[in-house]
Amino acid sequence: MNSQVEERTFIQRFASFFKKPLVRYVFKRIGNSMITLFFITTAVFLLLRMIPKETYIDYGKLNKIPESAREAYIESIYERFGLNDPVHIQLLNYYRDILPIPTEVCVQTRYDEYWQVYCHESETVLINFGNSVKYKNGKPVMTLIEERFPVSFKLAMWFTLFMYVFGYPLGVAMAKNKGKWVDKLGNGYIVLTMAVPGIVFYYLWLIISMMVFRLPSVFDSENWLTWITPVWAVAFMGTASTALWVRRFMVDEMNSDYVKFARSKGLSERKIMFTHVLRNAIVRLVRGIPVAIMLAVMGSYFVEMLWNIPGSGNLLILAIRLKDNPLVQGLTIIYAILSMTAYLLGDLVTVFMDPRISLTENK
Amino acid sequence: MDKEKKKNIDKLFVVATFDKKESEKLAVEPYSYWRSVYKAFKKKPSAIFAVSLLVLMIVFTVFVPIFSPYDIKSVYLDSRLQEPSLQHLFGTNAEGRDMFTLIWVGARTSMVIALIVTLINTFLGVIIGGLWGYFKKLDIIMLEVYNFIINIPALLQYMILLYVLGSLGSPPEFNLVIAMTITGWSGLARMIRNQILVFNNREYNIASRALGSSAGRIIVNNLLPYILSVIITTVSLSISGVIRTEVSLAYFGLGLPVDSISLGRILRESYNSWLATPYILIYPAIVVGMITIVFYLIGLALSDALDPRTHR
Repeated sequence: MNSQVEERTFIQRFASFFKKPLVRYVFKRIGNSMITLFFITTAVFLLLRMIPKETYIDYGKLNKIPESAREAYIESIYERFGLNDPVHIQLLNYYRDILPIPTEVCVQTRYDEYWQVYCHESETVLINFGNSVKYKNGKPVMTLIEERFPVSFKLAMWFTLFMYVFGYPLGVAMAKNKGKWVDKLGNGYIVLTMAVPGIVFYYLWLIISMMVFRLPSVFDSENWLTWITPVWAVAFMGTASTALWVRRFMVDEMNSDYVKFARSKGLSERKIMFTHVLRNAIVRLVRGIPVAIMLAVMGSYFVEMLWNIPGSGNLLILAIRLKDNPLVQGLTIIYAILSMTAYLLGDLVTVFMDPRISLTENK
Repeated sequence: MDKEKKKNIDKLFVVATFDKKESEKLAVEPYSYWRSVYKAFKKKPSAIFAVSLLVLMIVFTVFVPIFSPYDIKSVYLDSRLQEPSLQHLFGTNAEGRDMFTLIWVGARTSMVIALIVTLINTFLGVIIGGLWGYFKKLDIIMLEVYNFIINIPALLQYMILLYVLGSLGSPPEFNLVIAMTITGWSGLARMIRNQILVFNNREYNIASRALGSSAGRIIVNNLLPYILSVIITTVSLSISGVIRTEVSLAYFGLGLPVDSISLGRILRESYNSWLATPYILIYPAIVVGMITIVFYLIGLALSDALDPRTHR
């Protein structure tokens, strides 16, 4: 028996590794996400090609150029962004560019005496989303994203932390006192945040923080005082949704047969709560963490604009306002990748943590 | 004596007659789904509150724009940024326009857009969801489409769609509706598909199919009544959702143009001058909150009342 195991070749071991249901599930799920990502990239690309290519021209710059050279300038811009090619060639080029291979991208462009664009300085980036058209003198989109994302991500981590720190106890308290005043009050809070547009609350927090607490309204990443209101504004919304989910899971678990059995066996309510209910509810909650972080990154569109935070959400709004197609395109795809990864991680975490999920039935 | 006794005994034992009318009567009131829904809905204080508030708001949105003495298109320089008074209930904005009139005109626009979007989404959702659940071959394609849609956050979808549609030169109201309906049907369609998968294998449907009912007949007559509660709940919650989205998009400067008046636009415009006059932001914010919460509460109450398990 023992000798047989040793005799297995590397390939056989490799193959048996892939036959494990867990491994197969993980790879299948990743493969599916890749296919979805491919479709999303294609759709976003084709959608943005519907915008007339005149939006690529920076009219402020165009007016400074002598009239005779304008045509050549416009043509050189079209050439630089590959807009003269047929759409399918552009699409194929785009697929090639966004493969994560380090590539050289132009950082600074200059014009020669015939007003033709040439590359003055270049830089290596991992994913080439192309260059921004109007923002910051045509910096590569990837560099801009790298600059902007850390702030957004930091904010998102804080939001998520507070969401769980406040939302979890609230949800537990609501489930434990179902139908009593804690539950009713909590439900009122949840309905309020679900029904009323977030921006109404953000405005209110801004007014309160400025008028009552005299907190600064302009964000500065060095000054921690300025972090309080934006973080609290989003956490106020997120806490409600966390509490809602915790309450629902807990109530579900509390009505399940094994809890009733434990109670009839004579276990104390405290023990039932901590060893059975909370443990099971936590599995389903952990699943939500990646999605919560992702939603917080998205939710920061509002606060980033309101408090003028130099994050990625703010960049997207700016890109839309400037009609900067490559920037919008790159950010959308990054956001799509983020949200897909979040869902994927959530699913995988559940699979690893909950032994009851059988993978063979999962289709 | 004997005779009397016999008479009494005869009276005691009378052969019962069979009364057909009487036999049809039930001791228990017959069960009617819609009556039970109405009863369950009526029991909720929050629902009654929401409905009465909604009626009040609809009265305002219909009559305030008609009977208001103030013109909301022109600029009144002499009455700029006035505090709330009897003449101007909610004060005036930076252009001197009456905020009270402005808010209800905006509410009308937002509600009409929400209604149109919801109707289109429901229509598409029911049709696509019905076909998706009924024809198993569609499942592979539709699941991929659904995955595609839910993997991009909704707000991002609307932003990108509005960005693209906005540069094509079609009317902005039309763009807003299109952007919110291109993918907006997916949630309802998915729910209907799941419901159909559950109900499709019940005995009565198998019997119906064995008797040769067509696909359309089964969907419309056998399945839709069960799914109706899902549809009604989604519709009532969706109106609130669309108004929320409109407000969010307006905040980013997307959606309706500057000269059209909607709740989102008013909030956005008020933001520019709130520091000196906070009421200019607070009143619209309260009205927006009230409108969305009323629709949301009605949706919640309906979804409870429509569930047959809560009856009796």
